[in-house]
Amino acid sequence: MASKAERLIALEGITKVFTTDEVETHALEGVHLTIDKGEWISVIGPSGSGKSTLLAILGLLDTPSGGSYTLRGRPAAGLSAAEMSRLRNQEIGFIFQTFNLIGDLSVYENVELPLVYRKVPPAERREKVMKALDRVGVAHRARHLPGQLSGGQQQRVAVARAVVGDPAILLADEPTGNLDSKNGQAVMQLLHELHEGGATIAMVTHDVAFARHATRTISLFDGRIVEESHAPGAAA
Amino acid sequence: MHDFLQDVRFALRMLRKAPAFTIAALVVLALGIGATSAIFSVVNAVVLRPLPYPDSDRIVVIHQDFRTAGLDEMAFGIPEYHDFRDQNRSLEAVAAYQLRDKNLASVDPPERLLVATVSPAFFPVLKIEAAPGRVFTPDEAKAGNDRVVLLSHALWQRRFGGDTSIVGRSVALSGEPYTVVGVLPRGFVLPQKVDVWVPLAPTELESSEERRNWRNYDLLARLKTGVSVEQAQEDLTALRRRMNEEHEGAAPGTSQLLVKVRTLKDFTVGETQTTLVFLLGAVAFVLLIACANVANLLLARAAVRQREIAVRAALGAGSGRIAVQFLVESAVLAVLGGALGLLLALWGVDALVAIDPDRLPRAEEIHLDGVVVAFTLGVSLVTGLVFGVIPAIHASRVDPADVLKEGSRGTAGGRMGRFRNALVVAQIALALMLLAGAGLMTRSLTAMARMPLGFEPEGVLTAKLAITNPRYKEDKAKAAFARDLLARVRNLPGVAGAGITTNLPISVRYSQSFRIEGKTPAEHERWPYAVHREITPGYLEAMRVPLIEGRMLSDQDHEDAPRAVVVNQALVKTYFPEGSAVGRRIRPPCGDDEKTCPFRTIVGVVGDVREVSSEETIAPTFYASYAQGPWHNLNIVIRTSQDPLSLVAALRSEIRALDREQPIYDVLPMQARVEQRLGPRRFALEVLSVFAITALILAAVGLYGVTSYMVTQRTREFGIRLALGAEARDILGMVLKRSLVLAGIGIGVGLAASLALSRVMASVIYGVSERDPLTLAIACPVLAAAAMLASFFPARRATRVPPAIALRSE
Ligand SMILES: Nc1ncnc2c1ncn2[C@@H]1O[C@H](COP(=O)(O)OP(=O)(O)OP(=O)(O)O)[C@@H](O)[C@H]1O
Ligand SMILES: [Mg+2]
Repeated sequence: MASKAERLIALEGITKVFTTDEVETHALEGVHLTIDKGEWISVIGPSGSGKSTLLAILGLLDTPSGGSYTLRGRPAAGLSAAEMSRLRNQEIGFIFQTFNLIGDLSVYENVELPLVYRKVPPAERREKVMKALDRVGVAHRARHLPGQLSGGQQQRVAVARAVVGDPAILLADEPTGNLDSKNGQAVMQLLHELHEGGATIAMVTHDVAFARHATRTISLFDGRIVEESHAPGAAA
Repeated sequence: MHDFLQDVRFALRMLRKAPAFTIAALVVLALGIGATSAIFSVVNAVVLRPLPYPDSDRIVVIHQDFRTAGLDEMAFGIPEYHDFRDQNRSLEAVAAYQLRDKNLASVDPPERLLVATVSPAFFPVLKIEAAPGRVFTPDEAKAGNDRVVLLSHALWQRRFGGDTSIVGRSVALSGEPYTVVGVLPRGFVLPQKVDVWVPLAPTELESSEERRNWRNYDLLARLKTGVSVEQAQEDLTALRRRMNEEHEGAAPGTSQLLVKVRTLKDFTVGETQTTLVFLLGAVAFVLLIACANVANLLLARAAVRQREIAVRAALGAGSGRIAVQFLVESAVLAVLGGALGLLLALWGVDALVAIDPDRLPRAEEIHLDGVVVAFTLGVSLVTGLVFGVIPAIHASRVDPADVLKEGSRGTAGGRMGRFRNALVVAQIALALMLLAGAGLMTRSLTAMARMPLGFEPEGVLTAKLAITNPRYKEDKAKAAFARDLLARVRNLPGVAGAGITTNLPISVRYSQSFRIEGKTPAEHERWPYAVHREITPGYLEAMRVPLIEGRMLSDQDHEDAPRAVVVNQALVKTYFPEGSAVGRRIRPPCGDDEKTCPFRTIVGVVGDVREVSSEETIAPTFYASYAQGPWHNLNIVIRTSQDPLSLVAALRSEIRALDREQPIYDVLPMQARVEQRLGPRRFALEVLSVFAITALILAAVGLYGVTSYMVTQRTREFGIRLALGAEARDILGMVLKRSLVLAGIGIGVGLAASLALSRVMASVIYGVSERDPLTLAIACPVLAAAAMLASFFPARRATRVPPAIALRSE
């Protein structure tokens, strides 16, 4: 079944080395990972094991020190900064632990931002933004500033911003980390619905309970994948 | 008190902890306060501080105001002086004085001295005493007793080695012996840069009614206690009106005389006051920019210290307490900046005085004193309050709960951001005003420098002589001296032409009424008035003043020939509008007797020469033949194809050969004199330019600081935007646009304010509109470019934010 699915991303022998103050940190060492369309991958592991680093590389926010990254069959090595920006904008939607809404922009403007960078015409923008806000249930808050919203609401706005441009993959780094359990549940429910609707998701989480939503779970330790397990439903 | 000391100690510790911030703030403050103190030192010494005489505000200078003839500083005849002295009701004492040249020849080399002839009341009016020796006694104002002299302290030191036995000794002034009776105090040079004083002992003829209108003396007086300048003005004007009626007809045309009374200080400081007050205003702008700059730095620090503030608040510090602590920090900063500023001012005052020491009145009195130090301390504290109050208010409003919450730093905009932006806008607006002001002044000076002079100053050497020795008493002797000197000079190698005039253009000028043959002015009609000077043949040619009609003066116009004059075009236009003036005759106001006061025939018309730099219209002028009316003040002008200064040695030796006791002085190329006339304006321009450049740099640094801070504060936001697909140029554009908007608003506000203040500018510029669009059109892009440059580097930093930063928690 997995072999029939469309291959979205392939990582081969990815390494990432940070050098600060002459200290080398090997954040990732020889990571192999493929992601197919429609998968929900959950990344777990102790603090400092390289989860965020992996997500940054998946999301073209950072470039690996070694190995190869292929997105929809195209190698990402050698892309210019401008091409990377374009790919990020079109193919990837981010959801962050700290929501990362821009405080000076209204809810509506925050969600609109990826479309602005994509130079989508205003009328079409408006339609897409309202649809995305509707989907996460905060359309009535469109004119508010993020600071006037609760944490749960803010994260829902962040989800709307991530999905508004129909990206190929949603990347979420501890999306529930700053939320209480009730709000966390709600966001997970939202991601679940998106997945049901066909979205591909890669999510970092500490919480094994939430990892259960995924079709596949990857465990990182000291920059290596030490375990990979398929959820019962998906593995069959 | 204990709290206060603790606050000061804490403030010092905080300043040590952030050296970059502290240094930046101190440099900005030192610049602002230093410039202000330097200018204030000058204003204080020149304008504010009373003159160094007892009750100096009661000392006044009196002139006659003959406005209908365009003369507002006319002197007095001896009979007029006596009338004013004896009949006024407002003056305690009145003295008359006159400036003259004399040559001191008993020492080698001979030296030309500036001599003041003063009535004995001169020193009591000023309440000045001599030491060693004494001032003049009333008895010495009588002809025969008047061969006594007072020396200036400087001359006494320079030529007589400060020897106290000089009192009672005899010195030769222009060949005549005078007994030294005293030495005046150090620095005393009144009425202006005087070397020696001799008593005024009017001759009987001079005191006679016949000489009522021979106006050679200015008046210095002391007001009676309780009498104001205005009251004296009223009293003396009433007196003048009575005198006008009494002497009506005796002196036709002068029946409209008025009196002008000014304090000695106003008279001495004159126009400089306008310039200095203007510069004090300008420097206030620089100080304000510095304040805004430091306020911004402090706001940035307050933001960084939010957590500290919140902790203090959480520990129970009231908002007032926190505000006070911040104010104390500002005050400490300001006082340190002020101390540095004072050091800067010490140097700045010297620099200011060095620009033009000769033209700055009271320059010798300028120095840093207690008043300046107190002023600087005051300015520093006020400055500290001004730049400290906004951050203090801000700090006192920090909500402790707000700060301790995680991740609320994202709201970078808000109230504080707006303050910071407003401060930048204010800096840019102030800088624009200073730039526009300096630009206008530059344009004004260029316009003045470009005004056609009517003669060619390049390649002309000028020097002054006063032939006051008794051997030149006779007119013929003076004329012969001039002729001999010119003959020698014309033979020097490299000399293309030479001539002598009693007055150079662009210097003092003497006006005289005259009468046109065949025209009698009606009783209240204004008499013809003209500037006059005596010249030798060759003078106009050496200056390259063009001949328009008729002929130039020549050797045929010697002492025994019929009187001849050459006039300028302005005189023809004004007084002979009907046609040619050549062949017409004019007569100075010396009487109606053709024997003693013959008519002079106009033999030629020459081009107009600009006499005063700022004059719009050129005054009617006539040039009489020097041989037909010699005067002891000579200005020799020599045209050469070489560097004019290369002739100085040869000129000196020719004069020595002619009369080895005859000094020359004030040897200068004519071009240098032309440039000097721009003196006071050049002074203002140079100082204003320094201010404008400082302002531009401060404003740019301010914008850089704000943009840089903004980029740091919003690093995460830029990371997020990049993660969402923004490209580097989107980010660059975003940051630059923001700066450009701030700069634009600043420029707009600055323009509006410049226009609103254009009246102030009008008082110091000339030859260009105070709303000159070109200047403004240049100032705006200069500022915009500076703004772009200042924000480019932080903007580029913003584009280099790693997008992965969005994944990191703070
Ligand atoms: N920009 C960076 N410079 C230097 N070292 C870095 C950088 N980013 C990450 N690291 C290091 O790389 C390692 C992996 O970090 P990463 O953020 O991926 O961990 P993580 O698994 O996401 O941890 P956590 O669960 O705490 O978020 C850590 O040792 C970290 O200190
Ligand atoms: Mg992480």
